[in-house]
Amino acid sequence: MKINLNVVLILFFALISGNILAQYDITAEEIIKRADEKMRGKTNTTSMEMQIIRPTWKRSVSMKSWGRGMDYSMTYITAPAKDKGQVFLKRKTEMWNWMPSIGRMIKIPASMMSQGWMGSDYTNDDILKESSIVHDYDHKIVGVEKVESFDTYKIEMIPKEEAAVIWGKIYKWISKDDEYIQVKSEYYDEDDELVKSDFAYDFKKMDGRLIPTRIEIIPADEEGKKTVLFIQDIKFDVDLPESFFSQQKMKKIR
Amino acid sequence: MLNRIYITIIFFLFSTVIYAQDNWMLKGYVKGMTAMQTIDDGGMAIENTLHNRFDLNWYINENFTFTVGLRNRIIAGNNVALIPNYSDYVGRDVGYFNLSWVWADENSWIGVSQLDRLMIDYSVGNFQVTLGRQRINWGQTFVWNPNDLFNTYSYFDFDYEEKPGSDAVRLQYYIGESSKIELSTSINSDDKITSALLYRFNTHGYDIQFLGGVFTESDYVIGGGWSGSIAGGGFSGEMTYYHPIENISDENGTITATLHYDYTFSNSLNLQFETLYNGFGADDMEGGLGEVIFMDLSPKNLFPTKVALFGSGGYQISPLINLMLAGMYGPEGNFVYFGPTLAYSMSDTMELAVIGQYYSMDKVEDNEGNPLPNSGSALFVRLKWAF
Repeated sequence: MKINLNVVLILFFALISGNILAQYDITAEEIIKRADEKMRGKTNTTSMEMQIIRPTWKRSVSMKSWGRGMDYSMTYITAPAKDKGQVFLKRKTEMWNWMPSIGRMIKIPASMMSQGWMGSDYTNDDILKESSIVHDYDHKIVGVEKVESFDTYKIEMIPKEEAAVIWGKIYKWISKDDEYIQVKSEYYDEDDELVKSDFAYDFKKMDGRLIPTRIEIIPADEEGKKTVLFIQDIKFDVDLPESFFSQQKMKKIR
Repeated sequence: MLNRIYITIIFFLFSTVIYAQDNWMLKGYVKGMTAMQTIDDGGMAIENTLHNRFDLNWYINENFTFTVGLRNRIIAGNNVALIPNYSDYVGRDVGYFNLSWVWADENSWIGVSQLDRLMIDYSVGNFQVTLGRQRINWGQTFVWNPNDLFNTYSYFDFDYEEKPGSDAVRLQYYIGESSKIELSTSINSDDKITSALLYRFNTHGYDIQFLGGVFTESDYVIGGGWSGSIAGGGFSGEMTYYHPIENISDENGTITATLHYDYTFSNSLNLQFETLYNGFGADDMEGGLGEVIFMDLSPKNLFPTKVALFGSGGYQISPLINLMLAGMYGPEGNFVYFGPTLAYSMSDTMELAVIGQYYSMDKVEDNEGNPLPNSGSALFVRLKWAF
């Protein structure tokens, strides 16, 4: 019965989408902006675990992070044991790594930032939010679809010419309710080949917002491989002034 | 001896007292390593080391943090029997306080422990004071560090990841988010004081530092260093100038300097290059291989000769397997070093590594005309469990 209803809905949307798209009272850019703001807030503190799952092995890393907009972030590694206590600071385009075991502050060059952790499908660019899903793309609503239990806008994002973005195209499915949840995304390279997809699951209210506490990132055409993010705790709009993101704070934070 | 036993007891008391609270962090590892070494064309020496480390941080309150690092090693093998005074070498402590002790010195094995961190840190506002045995790290480059006046380490001593500490008072004042002024003063095992002022700031994508002071009461030092980038790769350098205090009017100062560049490609290939100019170096490898391996390191003795070049390439064969090849060349005395490392991540807490070292140089003789060892190779197999 439910399936039938979905088919009807999809047909319905397919028929009327041409008309309706022009009549949305919200633009694609505004939807992406709200979705981005929702997961990020003006500032946020997050505890999470990332698992890299491969057919024959699994590794995980856990961290706490503090963020303020696109320009400032600090990350404290809580596991695995050998990396515990390391801190990363990002201020605009610069990044440092504090290694307490040897008491050294290392300035990280740009070429080192593009590396994923342990072959993770999540790159440093994802973690550091080098590019903005709002400012670096042109957005268009290309459909309305049901994904999992959500009614969503399907939004096509084409990178602006001057933007330093590694993708050729992104699709995002964003819930139509007031929560603006990024339910699903697909990332394509410049040859229009699907590179990876991500899916959001296990929604919980955290700090007043509905948050996916499990996000799976699945590389295309690679059986048995995925990277899973578990969001353990998230708080928004906490007091994190720019001065919080300092080398002095790096040495104290835990 | 008694004092050190007290310190150890206090360490474990602290561990249990604060165990129930969440204002502490204990971490460390146990490593088992087998080394197979040959010198010249001699036979193979085998050494087994069991190496354990505890690092304990106690966050007493908002302002005070107490830190202890305890390093324990049991060394067994041919070197213990063959090298005279090996336990003295392994158990030496270059700090003012002797916090190292050899608790077992048998024919075939040695047990040695050292507190290489033991400090109390006080911070309030932009001000931070650290008192005790600590690592004051002013280095910007990666193989040799002319700016690192307080605790020099040897590139070849790869198994001592944390590097030594020094007995010091460190005052730091943070001017901004990425700038500070620092005054550090240490005293070594010869009762000699090193004291220097450092100013570090960030501009146009570069971290830049200047320093000046007195080194072991023998030299005035002035220097500087930077870390920045060129074409996305890391570009850094250091230089320190030494002027003897006794002959202040002479124009006989000495310079040590390094230059470093590294680049990481998108396929994970990481290349590093570093070059050293060491004004204190000799014109040849006069001490032979022993001088390289057992070198009495100081910022004035970073390498036996004047010039050295370093290059390395690291590559992830798979996400779990990392291969690195490192090489060094010293034109004076034709010093050649080659060191491959293969590291395999067995689990989130276990790592297996195989490390090779090969050294060679021109033939050298001691004062009496006896040839000194001038080549050697070693293979290390190491299993590490971190907690």
